[in-house]
Amino acid sequence: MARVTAERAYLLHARPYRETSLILEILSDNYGRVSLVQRGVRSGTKAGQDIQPFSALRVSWSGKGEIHTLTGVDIDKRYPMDDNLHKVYGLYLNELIMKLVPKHGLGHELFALYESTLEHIACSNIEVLLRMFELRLLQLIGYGLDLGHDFEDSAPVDAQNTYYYDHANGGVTAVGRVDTSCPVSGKTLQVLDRLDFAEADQRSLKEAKRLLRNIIDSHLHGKPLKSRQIMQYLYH
Amino acid sequence: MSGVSLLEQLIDALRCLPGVGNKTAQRMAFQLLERNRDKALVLSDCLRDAVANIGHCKRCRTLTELDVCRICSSASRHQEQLCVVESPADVMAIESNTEYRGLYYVLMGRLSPLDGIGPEELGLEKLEARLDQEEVEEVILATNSTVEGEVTAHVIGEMARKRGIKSTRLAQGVPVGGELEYLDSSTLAHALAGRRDY
Ligand SMILES: [Zn+2]
Repeated sequence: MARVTAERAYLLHARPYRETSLILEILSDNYGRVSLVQRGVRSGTKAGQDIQPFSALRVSWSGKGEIHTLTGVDIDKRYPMDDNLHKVYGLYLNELIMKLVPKHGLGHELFALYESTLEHIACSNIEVLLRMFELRLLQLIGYGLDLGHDFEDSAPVDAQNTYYYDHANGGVTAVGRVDTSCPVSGKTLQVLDRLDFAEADQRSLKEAKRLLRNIIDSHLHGKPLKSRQIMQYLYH
Repeated sequence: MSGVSLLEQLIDALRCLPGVGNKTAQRMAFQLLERNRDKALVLSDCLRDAVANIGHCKRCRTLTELDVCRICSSASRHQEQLCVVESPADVMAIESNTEYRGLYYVLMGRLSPLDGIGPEELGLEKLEARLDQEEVEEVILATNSTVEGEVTAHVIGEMARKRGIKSTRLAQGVPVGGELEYLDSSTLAHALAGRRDY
């Protein structure tokens, strides 16, 4: 990866680096998550950087090793989001990617998922959209979620049964010997397994939210998601 | 510190200032030592006093050596207007460039999940307490127009709305002296959306 030109990308996060530079964490189409140094941006007189999250970018960089050097950036399409609440959801997507996806891991599939999620934030049922994103992200990272079968006997999940998620097995079982703090109905599991929320009722949406939160938390090893705290703060 | 001369230590210390690299730090050190020793002493006294005595205002959290800063304790400021900003520098900018006569609340940052700053870290409950206890009629959301600044404005706007307090956001538009042709697309879009009767 010596030189990359006009790669499609989104900015996930920018943080100050040394005197006048920024470290940009981007999600790129073909190279996954990449860290880039942008030099000479914080002159002190000019307020703020000029690229922001959620705008479609064309990014060029060069260099070897962990951190590359930004050589050019163009804004393809600025800010599809005008509603500030949507930006809260957007920051949640960014935080999930930064905390769950290793650098250089996952290419185009994650990029496509992220981009289509951003594009739908304004016009979809946001709860369904976030669940789909969480689920697809977990699958892409390779956590091998099987929510369609009971891992004990491989039987397909029965809509009438109650199941329990087991972190060690990465699956669900109706045999109630596992942690019972997160029971979930077979009906909800079928929704998640088929990625089809058309028939999901409020109860299933709630269960799905709690289950996915549990699974994500177990992969974060106690690291809190600050963007989730912002959402909770807004809805308390 | 064996081997490192006092001069080197001074140059190294000066480099903690924003925008000061090695060359500039050297120039500063020589200037202070060769031509300006009296002022160097004043500077060192000021620095020592400032660090020892300046803390945060109990009411608005801006930097001050007082318990409650001059703006907060002034009887002539409008008590019903509260302008929420990210930093003490923003207070200074508004004070020196505008006719604003209300009060401030300084967040000392903004919500930024990936920097580890959520509602708790930002101390939003202190601001909530202030909205509950004082007679604020308008919250002016003057956070930066970055994604994090907008999100922070949204959250504080909701906080005000839940309490039946009006919130307003700084207008975004064409900068004075700016030519439309050279504006970035979102500034132009905001300026057009926020147009006023003329
Ligand atoms: Zn004060």
